[in-house]
Amino acid sequence: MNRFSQFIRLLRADFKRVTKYIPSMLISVSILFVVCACAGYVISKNLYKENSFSAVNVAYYMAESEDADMTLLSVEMLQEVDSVKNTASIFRVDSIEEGYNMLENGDILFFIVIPEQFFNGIVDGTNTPLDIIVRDTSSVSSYITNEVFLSYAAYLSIAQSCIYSVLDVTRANDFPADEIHDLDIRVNLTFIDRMNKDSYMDIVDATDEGKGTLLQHYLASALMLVLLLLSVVLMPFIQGHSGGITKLLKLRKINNIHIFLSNLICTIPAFYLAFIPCYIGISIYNKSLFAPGLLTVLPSICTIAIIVNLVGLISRHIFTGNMILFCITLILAYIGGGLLPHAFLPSAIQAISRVLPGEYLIAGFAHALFGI
Amino acid sequence: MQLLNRFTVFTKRILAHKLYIIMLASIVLLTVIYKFLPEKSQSTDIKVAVFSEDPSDYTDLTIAEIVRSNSIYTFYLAKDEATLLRDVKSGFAECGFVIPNGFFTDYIKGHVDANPIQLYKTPSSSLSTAIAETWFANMYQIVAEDILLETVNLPEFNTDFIERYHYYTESDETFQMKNVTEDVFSFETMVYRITLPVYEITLLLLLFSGLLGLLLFEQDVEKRMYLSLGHYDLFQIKAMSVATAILPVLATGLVSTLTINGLTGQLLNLLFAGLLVFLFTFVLSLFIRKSTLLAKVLPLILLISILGVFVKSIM
Repeated sequence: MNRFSQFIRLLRADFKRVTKYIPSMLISVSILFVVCACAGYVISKNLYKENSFSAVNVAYYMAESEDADMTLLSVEMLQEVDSVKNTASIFRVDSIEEGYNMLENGDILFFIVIPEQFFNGIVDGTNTPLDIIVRDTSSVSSYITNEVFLSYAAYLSIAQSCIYSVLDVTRANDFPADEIHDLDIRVNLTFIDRMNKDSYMDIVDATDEGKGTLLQHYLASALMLVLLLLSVVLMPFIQGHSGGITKLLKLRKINNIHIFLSNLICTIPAFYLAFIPCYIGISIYNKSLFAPGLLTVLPSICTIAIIVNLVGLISRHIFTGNMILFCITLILAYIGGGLLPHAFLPSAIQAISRVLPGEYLIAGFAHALFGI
Repeated sequence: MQLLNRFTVFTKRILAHKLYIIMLASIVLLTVIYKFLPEKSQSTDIKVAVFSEDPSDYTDLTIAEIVRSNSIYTFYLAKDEATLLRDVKSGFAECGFVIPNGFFTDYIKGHVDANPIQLYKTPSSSLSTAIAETWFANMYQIVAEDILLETVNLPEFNTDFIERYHYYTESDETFQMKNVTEDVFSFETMVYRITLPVYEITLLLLLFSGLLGLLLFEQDVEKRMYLSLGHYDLFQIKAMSVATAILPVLATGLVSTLTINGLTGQLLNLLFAGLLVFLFTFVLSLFIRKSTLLAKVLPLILLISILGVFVKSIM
């Protein structure tokens, strides 16, 4: 028999051997994947903690006035703006004394007294001043809230400056009244439009990792961890040729490279089989199935099979092999951003990650599972 | 006397293990690294990253205006979008603005939604909307003249419009609000040491050493070394094997924790963890009686423990 036939016989024998490991392998994968996926879920939901900045309390008193309805409408509009909602809780008090009492008791940080004819004053340019009384002018909260108010004052002041300049120039140059009116309306609307920052800004979630969400990234990382650690079940298979059998195989021109190749060829389907329940589980959770993933996962599976078989080849005992692989798994997961996203890693580690397979394995699994 | 002899023999055996020595050395090494790492200082100010693809100088002018207004936020230019994203993700920057090419032209002309700024934020960026207000208010101020001239579209009067505009921005005839806070906010400079998870690693190594002790005992049993011994002696040897594996790691861990944190509750926690590992290993030995099975299960127990410690530290 030639060497090729001997290799085929070895391969057939190894295929028979590996099938015995499949039940325990599937049980291990199911348990491990549930544990790792749950850990990934918890980490992805808690990695970015909600910040502790709490809105400051701001009270305002509004004097009775003929333009009170318009002023109240303006305050209510201000209360609905996101930046104000996030930084200040604004409410009305019935008297100036009540406002001062609240200020003294520490219930509020800012107390605003809105004078009579305030709204009309903005429209006709008399600009009746507001009184703002601040309990503490040195805390971060007061600075942040003050800056939000200053921003709105700046919008108002600039819009007024533009409108007044248009009125001044057009009147000085004897523009017809209807043209002045048209220009006034146009400038008013333009500056109101430019104040609406939501039309000129998109908010993007920066927590996404790679091409997917943080959760998808952690599920892909969990899959990598599970498949690499599956070696604890497969290591006895990989190291299954005792010294006597190896000598016998050598007599039949089968060396360690042949054994390695045979093990590799047999473990690739085993790993693929282990991938299937994870793939189905995630597809059910995700309520969508990315069918091409069944094919595109192959490079990642092959890489894992190569790593596991190489470790099996260089280590003499099952325990040593498992421990080496355990360390390799942790290193690949950490450097590849599987434990913490890349942005959290030191810059030196980020540079190393590009030359190690961890990052690519996670990206490969993410593509296979979610098509991203 | 027999007990002491057994204790000495098992201690010598475990200390002859290369893997075990590496474990002990790693705790000592981490402690030494921690003690010798220089302290770092960092300002606790609220940073905001900006990356502009727009060739105009409006971005620089806006940042300069924000600096001039003594804003509480420190806006800085990121060298590229990836750096900005990394700074926001890592929490270095509270949020980040990416200004696309041609944004200012579109903003001046009022092309709504055509080419928006992208505000990158995380769930931790609770000030992002307030920061966006600061950015837009200052930007509004910078481009106001251009918006005005573009809107009225009367080029022959441009000089007059600008002259009157400047007059009003500096006059009391328009709405003005004075800053009610005290000058520039001075953030504290935080001095800190880089944290190394020495305590967590010691806990994991305690677990690993206990399991290693059990593994060595089971290998001895499989080699029929204790065939002539009764149940009591076998129990004593098993306890000795596990205890001698745990004790050196526990002692090193205690010294390390004492060196790093001083006399804290963590010392008691470590002692309690040592006891817990001892009991866990014993319970495990009732179910796993073969060294080959334990060798398979050991990495899984370690992985689950690591994930547990990791999740707890994040929560």
